[in-house]
Amino acid sequence: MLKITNLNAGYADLPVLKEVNLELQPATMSVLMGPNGAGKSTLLKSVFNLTNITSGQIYFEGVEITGWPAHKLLSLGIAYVAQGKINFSSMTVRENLMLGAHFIKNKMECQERLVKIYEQFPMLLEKEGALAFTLSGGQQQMLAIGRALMSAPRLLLLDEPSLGLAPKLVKEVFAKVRAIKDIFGATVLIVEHNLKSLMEVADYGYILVQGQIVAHDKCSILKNLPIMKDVFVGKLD
Amino acid sequence: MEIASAAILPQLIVNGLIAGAMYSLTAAGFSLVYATNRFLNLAHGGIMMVGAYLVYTFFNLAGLNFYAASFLAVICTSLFGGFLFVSVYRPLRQKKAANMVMLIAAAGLAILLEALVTLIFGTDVKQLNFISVQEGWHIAGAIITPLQLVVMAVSAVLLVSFAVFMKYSSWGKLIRAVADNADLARTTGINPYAVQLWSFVIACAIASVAGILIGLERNIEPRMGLGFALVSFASTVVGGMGSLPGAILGSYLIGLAENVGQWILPSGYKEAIWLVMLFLFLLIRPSGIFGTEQGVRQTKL
Repeated sequence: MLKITNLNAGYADLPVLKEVNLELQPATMSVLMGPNGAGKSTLLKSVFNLTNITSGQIYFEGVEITGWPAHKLLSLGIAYVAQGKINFSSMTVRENLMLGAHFIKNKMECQERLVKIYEQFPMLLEKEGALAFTLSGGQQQMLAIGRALMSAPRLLLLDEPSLGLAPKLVKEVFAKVRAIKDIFGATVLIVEHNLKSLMEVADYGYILVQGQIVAHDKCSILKNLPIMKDVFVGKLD
Repeated sequence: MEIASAAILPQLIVNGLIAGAMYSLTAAGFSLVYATNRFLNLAHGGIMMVGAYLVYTFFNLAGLNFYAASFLAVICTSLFGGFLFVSVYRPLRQKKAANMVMLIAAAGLAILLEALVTLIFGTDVKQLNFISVQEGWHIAGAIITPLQLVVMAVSAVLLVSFAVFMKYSSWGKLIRAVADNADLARTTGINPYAVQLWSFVIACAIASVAGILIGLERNIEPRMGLGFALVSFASTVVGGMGSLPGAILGSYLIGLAENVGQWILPSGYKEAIWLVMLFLFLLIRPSGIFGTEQGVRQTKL
């Protein structure tokens, strides 16, 4: 599905990732955890060529995509929800969603997908005509995920979807992501800082510390490893 | 200070609206370039001037039919704008030039265009003389010529179609997406460079129409460019940076203010009036009339 081999990447003079290897199995939900500054977001950004990749390869479904321009990846089947400003704030909810499928010429297909997204997120239908910046943090996250799904991606990358959300909402978002993964048949990779609850929902986990993968295994096994204690109590921060 | 009779007020308002109609065309393009490219294209007025001189060349010098000459001028100006973008602005952006560098480059380009046109055509004033001056109609105490009505109508129709294009067409939505958040647009599968280039070309096409209208209504001279670029800048600040309705509203407000202001001030204060407006807005409401305090509720890191 997604395969990263010996990746070294960073920004200008600041190397962040060191010899990172990662392989996602199709239709699984994986989680990438680690302390602040470990390079989790950098890893996702590297897939989209938004960092300086010094060496290593990234493959998607067997095709090497290392260094591809970011704007070509969505139509290839990879959607990415970044951190921070994740929506087109001065555009309506509906316009935001439709932009997620802007490269699809078939209008009927876009409409069908829109209906499917609205079924999953009834809140978005309610707020269809609202400008994105008027939405709450949780709604913004739903909108961004909804827009990512409009392209019917086979791989969905989520960068800290829990950021700024109340704990109750975080669970809701993760449950939603899990449901979406099953309904849309997508492979999901979520980056999170340290969330125990995510270990219950995800299939596979990677622990990234100081730019290196220090542990990876099935979540059921990984959550009992001693290193997880250090991650959860923030000892590695 | 002696205040002129109220009888001239309607005329001043009409003059203000005509000025606004011309300003709004350059301001709309200026605003579009700022929204998508995030730099102040001070050469935008220069491109408008090139459009005016091209129509003069095709119509007065080459003797083409006026509409054919105008059409050719719009095409050539757009191509020329695209060339400037690809040869000057994009290489600078690819080298990650700061906005100040872009601004200086644009100012340099504006001076270069003015100098080149002066070199080729001289400093003397040109006139298109397509529609000879006719007696105006008297409307509510003001005189307005058929030509002035044409200028206002063309400007209004063009800007309304442009606004509809931006709001409803798929191209318009892509442009708005890049203007809103270029990084997000990139990861949403939109090629921001293509959108930036096409926005620039569209802005140049509108500017060339402005050049033609100004050529019909006023005179053509090499110095017209920079003045219009500065008025466009002031209009977009007054209306709200990067907002199309804001740029249009700002243009009309400035056109009205500088003309109606002559009711109490000597006509030499025209520029001073909009400069004071620019100053006041930057001081009191830098986001402009349509600028919103948006993004407050977004998760920011």
